[in-house]
Amino acid sequence: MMPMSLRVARPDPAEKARPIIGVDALSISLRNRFGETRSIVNAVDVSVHSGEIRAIVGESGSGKTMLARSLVKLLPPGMEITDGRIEFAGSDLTAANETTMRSIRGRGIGFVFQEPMLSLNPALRIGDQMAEGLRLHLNLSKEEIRERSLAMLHRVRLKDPEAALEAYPHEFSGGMRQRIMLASVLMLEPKLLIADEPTTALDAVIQRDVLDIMVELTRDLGTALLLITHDLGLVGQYANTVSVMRKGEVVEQGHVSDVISRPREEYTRNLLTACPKRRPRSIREQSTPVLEIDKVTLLYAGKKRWPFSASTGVRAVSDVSFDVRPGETVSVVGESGSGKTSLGRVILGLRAATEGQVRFRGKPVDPNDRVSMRQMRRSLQVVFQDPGSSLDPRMRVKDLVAEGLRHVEGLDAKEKLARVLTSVADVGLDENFLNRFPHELSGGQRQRVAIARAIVMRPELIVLDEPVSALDVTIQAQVLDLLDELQRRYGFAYLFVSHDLGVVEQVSDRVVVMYRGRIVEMGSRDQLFDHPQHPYTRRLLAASAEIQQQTDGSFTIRRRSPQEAAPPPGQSFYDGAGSYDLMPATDGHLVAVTRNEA
Amino acid sequence: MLSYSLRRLALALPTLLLAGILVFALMRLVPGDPALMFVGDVDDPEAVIRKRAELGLDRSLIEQFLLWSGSILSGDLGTSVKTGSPVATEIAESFPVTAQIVLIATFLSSIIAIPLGMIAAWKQNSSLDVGIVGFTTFCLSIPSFWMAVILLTMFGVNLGWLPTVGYVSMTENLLEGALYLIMPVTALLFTELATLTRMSRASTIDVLRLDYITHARAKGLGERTVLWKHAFPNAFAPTLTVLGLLLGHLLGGVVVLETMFSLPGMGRLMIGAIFARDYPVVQGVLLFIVMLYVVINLAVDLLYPAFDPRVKL
Amino acid sequence: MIFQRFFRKRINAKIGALLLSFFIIAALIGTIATPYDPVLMDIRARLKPPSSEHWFGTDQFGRDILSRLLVGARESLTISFMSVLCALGLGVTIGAASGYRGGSFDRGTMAVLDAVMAFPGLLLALGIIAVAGPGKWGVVTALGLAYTPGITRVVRSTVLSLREREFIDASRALGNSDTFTLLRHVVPNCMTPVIVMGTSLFATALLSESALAFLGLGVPPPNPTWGGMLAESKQFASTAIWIAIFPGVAISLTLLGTNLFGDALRDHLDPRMNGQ
Repeated sequence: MMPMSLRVARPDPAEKARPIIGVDALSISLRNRFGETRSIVNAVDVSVHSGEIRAIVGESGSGKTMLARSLVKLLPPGMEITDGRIEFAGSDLTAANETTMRSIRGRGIGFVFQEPMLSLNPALRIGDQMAEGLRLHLNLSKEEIRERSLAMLHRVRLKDPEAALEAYPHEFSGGMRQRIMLASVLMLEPKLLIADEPTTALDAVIQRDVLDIMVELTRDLGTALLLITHDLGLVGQYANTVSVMRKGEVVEQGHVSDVISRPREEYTRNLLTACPKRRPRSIREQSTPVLEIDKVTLLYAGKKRWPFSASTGVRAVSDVSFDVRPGETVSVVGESGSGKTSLGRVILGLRAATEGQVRFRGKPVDPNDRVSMRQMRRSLQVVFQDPGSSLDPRMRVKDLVAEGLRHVEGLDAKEKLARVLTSVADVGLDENFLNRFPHELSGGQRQRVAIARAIVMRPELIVLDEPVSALDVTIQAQVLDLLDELQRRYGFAYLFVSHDLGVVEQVSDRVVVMYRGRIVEMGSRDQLFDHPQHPYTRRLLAASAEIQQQTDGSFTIRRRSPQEAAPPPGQSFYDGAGSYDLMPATDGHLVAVTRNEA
Repeated sequence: MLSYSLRRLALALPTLLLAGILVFALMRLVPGDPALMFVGDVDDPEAVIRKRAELGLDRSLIEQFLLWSGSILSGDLGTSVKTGSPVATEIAESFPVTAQIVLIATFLSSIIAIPLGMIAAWKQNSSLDVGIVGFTTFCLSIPSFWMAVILLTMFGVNLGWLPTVGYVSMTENLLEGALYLIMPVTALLFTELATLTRMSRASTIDVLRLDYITHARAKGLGERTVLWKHAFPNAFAPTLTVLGLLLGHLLGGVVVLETMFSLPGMGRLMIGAIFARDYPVVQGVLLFIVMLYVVINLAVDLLYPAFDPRVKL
Repeated sequence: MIFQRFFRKRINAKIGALLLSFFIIAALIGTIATPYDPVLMDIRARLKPPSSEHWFGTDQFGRDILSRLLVGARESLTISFMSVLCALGLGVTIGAASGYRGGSFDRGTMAVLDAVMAFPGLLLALGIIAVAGPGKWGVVTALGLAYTPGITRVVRSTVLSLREREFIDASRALGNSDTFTLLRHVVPNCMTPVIVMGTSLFATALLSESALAFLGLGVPPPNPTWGGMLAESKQFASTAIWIAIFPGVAISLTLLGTNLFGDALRDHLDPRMNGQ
């Protein structure tokens, strides 16, 4: 059932042909300071053929990154290949010396890293960094190097390649840097490109641009691609073949269509089932909102260049209004810089709004009014993105969970302990966890503790700020299920802040889409995902994959292709310039249009 | 560039002002009446009152501070109680001695320490690295004044190779002047070498862990290119800052060595002044050192963008 | 258990701890009893080389060097320790308050500290001693004040990075006051860099204390200090080298112990540096 047309057409990799790279029973282990070793990759077989795009998919700790790095023998200190062969261009790389490896790196095997912000040298000009590889591996004149660099920057669709050659990396955004990386690596026309989570650090729309360019270029140059990723959506959209890794071993591999639609292994099935999917939500009756956000604007004071000069402020949030009713989940979705996190901080009273007002249960949230804030905070709780950072590393679980109860009057120690025990049990942990420290817990367990800390107060509203984006997909699914169950049991309202459309689609009743501090569209989950109006919402949707489970138990992954929509009659969609209004497209579905100044 | 320089300059001014206030306050905390010190033990209350008026001590503190800063800005640091000559002259005479030792020692240690630290970082956890780190720990554990005593006893007195007391300016007699500097520079060299090697090692380790180093290797570049072209410029910038701080601090910090080797430098001037309760000199040296420190760090800041293009001009 | 992990396969930690405890014990012995009276002069026994009677020999006044070293250990170690403690107390308080509050308070504090840091540590200490007068407490005050800005900066930058961590926001979102958040969550999490820096400062303090004593600005004679003994040895070192050797070795070994221990501690607490 794979809609092949959405993927780039490729020649079917012939199984008989010699692979470009063949990994045979490769093992890697980590040796620590004390000389103890731990297996990281265990007897893995993987091969990539000419013209193939192979994805290696796995969660954290699967060993996928170390496997990728071992292919060019650039393992971090302490990591070593202990067994196996890496066949490349007729020789075994595990036995190759540094000189041989150097001639292969770059020219034979290109490598693109995850963090575009960190993989270009900040002290050197782009042109110099690009020229380096060419000069090393090919015998070219200065003019030829410059010409090839310019041509390649042109092919990755960089504006003004001439200027780019003279510029330093910090002058470019993350997406642009990753394109430059691609250009500088693919310029050497390697036989194989290894891309280690190349777009994980990027926003969805940019991620799609970069991947499209990468796939197009490798096809044109005849470069095979080994794509390391945790994202099954990407695998489904871009790869021909896939190897699923878990705890250092390949559990299943084969053609993408086979593995995804008919997974043989339990683990692969779990991964696919764990991907967020739309679920029916019960419609709630209208009632008084618990949270009202009324024309909120937040201005950050800019950095002053001179002691007494006026600072240029940054508008993080402009004129945003919506509300949340008891027991429902409203999601605020947007990319980095959309203002969603700043808005969350205003709602929590961690920052004062520059203009406008947030009202919680009818009372204004004002960080300067400490007494009413303290009362309010009992009913207004938060769960942050990174449980590694949101739990004080020096406190035990029971103290972490109990901390908020300090402000609940009339509870004695016994009652407090009882409340803590209930909450810890509610999030699915047992009493053995009470005396542990955060670093003794896994990421999922930590997030459960963070949730327990929020619900111990029996709040009415919990702000969930990217609560699952730091977690692996299987853990993410468990935490989302837990949140759903708690909502049904206790009737919390959730304000769910996220960049991940898949997760938003699964959990929300209503969705607010933010872009550069403004709301561009809001409506019910189904309205927004089925009939997106604003071009930005449509772009966002088109950049995310949709994973569905069919009635026969098989899975499909496809790109979303939202329908074009026309603006309300006589209006144009708001494009970021001037003022805007929210106009109803259908009942309860609002979209931003440019205000007609008349 | 101009705007960047001006902004740095604007940031340095408050430091100078505050340091000035600090020195002023410190000197006002000195127990006893400064006027009495000038007049001496003569039992003449009239003279003391006259001197008080002359020194402006009968005015309010703010007025005193303004008067004081005014005269300092015009280059008048007062006169020494002990010798009666202007403090500015005494500093001008002693500064070159100190500067020579510190600059030579800093220069020598940087050309050894920076590569040494980089090599240690490059071969992190190897026996070479352990050896280099061990050597720096050893150097850091020998006080320069102890080394001075040993050097003096061995090469100065027992072997008689090097002069023990006195000083000849290198501008008068290059060779002889250099002979007088060998021991003080050696005594200073070891601790400086150790500090800089450690700094260079630490910042190189930080840089070598970054993705762009791995990326440079993934291009197929050799280790020497990776180290010099990719790691060095990025690791050198923080080392440069430390070098600036170190230089500023050493200029005032070689007090003990100067006393030890009887060198007529600023440190000895200061110590002599403390023992003689010659406060105008103490104050003058402190102010001069602060100014020097601020100027050196300003110079480092202005050099910084050459090594790190991310610093906005 | 924690100690086992720390000392395991760390030769520098073991040697450092051994040396430090050796000198601490020496200082304790010096407080209780010494073989001879450390300040009693005996002209007949002057400049005696090491022997079974005087293990480390005698100085130019015939005083027993071992006894003087034992008493000097107490002086040097307590002065260094107290000045570091003083700097830590001031530095943590100012740094935490300044970093956490931010704004104009922070800018003001930092400006003053920048000005203080513009003075070389030893020179500033000298200036303070010039005013406060020499002696034990003069030295403690001078060194303590001279080291405060360094500690303050480290604490402040730690607090600034802690403020980015979500558990600080989490504490405020639970309704905790700023003071509570600062004391319960911020300060305890600053302690790691503070301990590391305190250890290395102890070495600096010991060195400066000896230098001040060497210059005659520390604890006044005839009370023995290591630095003072070295200063006195200058004239006699060519004929009686042991007067210069033993105090120097004592200072060096204590410094070595502190530096080794401090390095091991930093490696242990900051895993970045050991490359794993």
